[in-house]
Amino acid sequence: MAWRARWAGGVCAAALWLGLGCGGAAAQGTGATWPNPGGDVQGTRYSTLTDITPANVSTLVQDYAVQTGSTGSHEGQPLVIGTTLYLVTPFPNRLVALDLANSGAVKWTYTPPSNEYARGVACCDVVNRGAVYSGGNIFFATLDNTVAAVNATTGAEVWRTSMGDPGTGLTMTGAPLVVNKRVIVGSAGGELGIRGWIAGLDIATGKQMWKAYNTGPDADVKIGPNYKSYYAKDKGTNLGTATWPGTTLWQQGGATVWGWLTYDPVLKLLYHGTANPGVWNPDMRPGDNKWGASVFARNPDTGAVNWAYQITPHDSWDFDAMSEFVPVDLPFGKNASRKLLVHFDKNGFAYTMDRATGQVLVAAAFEPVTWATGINLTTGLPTLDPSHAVHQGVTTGNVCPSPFGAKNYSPSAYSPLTKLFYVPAINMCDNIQALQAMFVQGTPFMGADVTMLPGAGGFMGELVAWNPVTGARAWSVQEPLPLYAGALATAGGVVFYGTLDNWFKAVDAKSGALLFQTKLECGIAGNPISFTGADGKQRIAVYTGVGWIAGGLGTGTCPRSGWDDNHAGPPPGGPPDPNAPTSGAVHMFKLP
Amino acid sequence: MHVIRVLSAAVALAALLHPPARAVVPQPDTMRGIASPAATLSSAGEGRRVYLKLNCYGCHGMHGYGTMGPNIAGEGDVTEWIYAGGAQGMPSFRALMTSTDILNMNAYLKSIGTPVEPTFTHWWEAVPSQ
Repeated sequence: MAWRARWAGGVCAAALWLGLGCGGAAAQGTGATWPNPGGDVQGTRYSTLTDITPANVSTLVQDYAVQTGSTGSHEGQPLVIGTTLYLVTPFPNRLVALDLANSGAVKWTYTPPSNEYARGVACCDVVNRGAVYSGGNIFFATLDNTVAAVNATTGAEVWRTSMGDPGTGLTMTGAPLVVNKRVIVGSAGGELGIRGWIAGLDIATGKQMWKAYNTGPDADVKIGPNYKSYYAKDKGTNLGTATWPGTTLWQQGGATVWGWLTYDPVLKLLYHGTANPGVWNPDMRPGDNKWGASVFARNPDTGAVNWAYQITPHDSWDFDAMSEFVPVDLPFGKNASRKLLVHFDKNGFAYTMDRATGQVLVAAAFEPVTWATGINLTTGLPTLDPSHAVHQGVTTGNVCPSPFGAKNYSPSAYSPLTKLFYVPAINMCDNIQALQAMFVQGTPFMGADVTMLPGAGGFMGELVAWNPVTGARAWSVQEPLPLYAGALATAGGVVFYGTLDNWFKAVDAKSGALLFQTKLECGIAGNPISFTGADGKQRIAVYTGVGWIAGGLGTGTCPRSGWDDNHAGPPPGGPPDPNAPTSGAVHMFKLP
Repeated sequence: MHVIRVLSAAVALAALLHPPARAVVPQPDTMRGIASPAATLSSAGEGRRVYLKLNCYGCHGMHGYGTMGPNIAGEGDVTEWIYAGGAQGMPSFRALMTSTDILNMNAYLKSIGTPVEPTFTHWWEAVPSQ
């Protein structure tokens, strides 16, 4: 609790300190520290620090940088508690504590045993999306499917729990979230026929207290008597099997949880999305394929489902719904304050929902979309464009967004000052043909031939400032390459983000005007954070390091590895630079 | 065939020292109706068919140049890998491939980048239309 936001002001201060907020709203944002993957448990990635402003951010300088000793995409973000920064490296995963009072000197490194088999079954680079702090311990998951609790002061292992065998195709890449006495973790591996799940571990012992699959019978999904759905399409018994008619492929049905977990302390609900249903070939799995590409509101203590909503029924385009679902309170319609849940989906639509019921209040495209013409707010269903349906043996052209999504893992940020979300977006399309596929355990179970295409307009990335109440853009900044890194919003009125072509940038939160940019040694696939340095002044930190998937989007790998080690031809950005760094890094910035 | 037998003995020894990482468990309902048609293509063509059918392309790329797994285009003999799997995330395919399949796979991999490289995707058709 002590790490929650400390908004100044009157009678609300004590409540906010406790994370309870004023008038039923939960405090949002972090201050001196950064204890959760998304800053606060809501995942707003909002810093309440105000030293850095539009007026002075142009003078920002690098304080120092520390190499991680790892290659591959550095997709997550560090944590900061007191004067210690904690980072988790890509696989083999190590937890490293850096002394912020001593120019980032390494305090200790925790290196759990690692199973190299995980490297080969990780579909999308050997990434890790970060750790979480609670009660004196750091918790993180490893690619080879263990969850570790480590003493934040000493680096000693408190417990370590195995969650499964990478030989089955299972991996874990997401960041945990701690809610009450549970460490919540989720599976990856949907491209390898894994049946996706989410689990709650006991914070003191690591014992698994509950596990919910996202496909299959209601009992497995933890849909029980308290379940409700706003829409008829999501009501019924055992929809996790009944919506896979004529097949048992729900047993290899994907719907993993490799994205972000969020929590609303007021409604006491855990929110998470699920990835695409497997196999990619949609003709092999008729039906809606619940609960792929869906959102769940669960009781974090038991895993029981409160409500669910399937965002993309019968997902045929790899539209995972794993991106963050961020609870915010905003004036909406006749309500002075409504409890909303905001989500930017890979499918290209931004959803503003009632987070108590799952009702979709606003749904609008935030990037070009061709597979559907809109979302019907009465039925909750997308209005499909039949010409962009995907079928076996037939190439469907110009599907927008591409399987990279209109927004990928890269998390958005929200500012309660501007009431805008800042969304790292991707403007790409694809031609896709479904192929017959056979399940072989531990191998990719996909059945698709995909050709990626740049979206229209001459740009592939865009930072979009989005009004979740009106469902409209406030402004956007176009980037030549897809944005594959998260955003940070600050109370100083600045938004930070990084690009694959090595730029770290700051823009005005109100206008999008470029205020600061610096070119780093490698591209950025990580998410900036803000905290208070040992001198009491605001800092910004961000990872560099781009692996083979992100590098394939245009720049090649940097640090040099992966693609050039394993691949015959150079990535689209050209041959690897022989002088490129051999390690990712975390960069610290400050005002002079 | 003789070559394969010799190699198999070596691979069997290797497998004892480095046991296959994973038993392969095909799921019955995903196998139904999609068994490979009778061989109708060249050895490289049938190798391409097996390459697609057994999901090799998911790791090694649609044309063998690598994605999440390494580049294997032009490899001369992948028998040992097929039998024993790999410690960095490749299961054994021993239970799913015949010696003829392996010869065909080797022929396909050698053909990549040559004028006779088969590039079809419809592996489930007797004579692939695409």
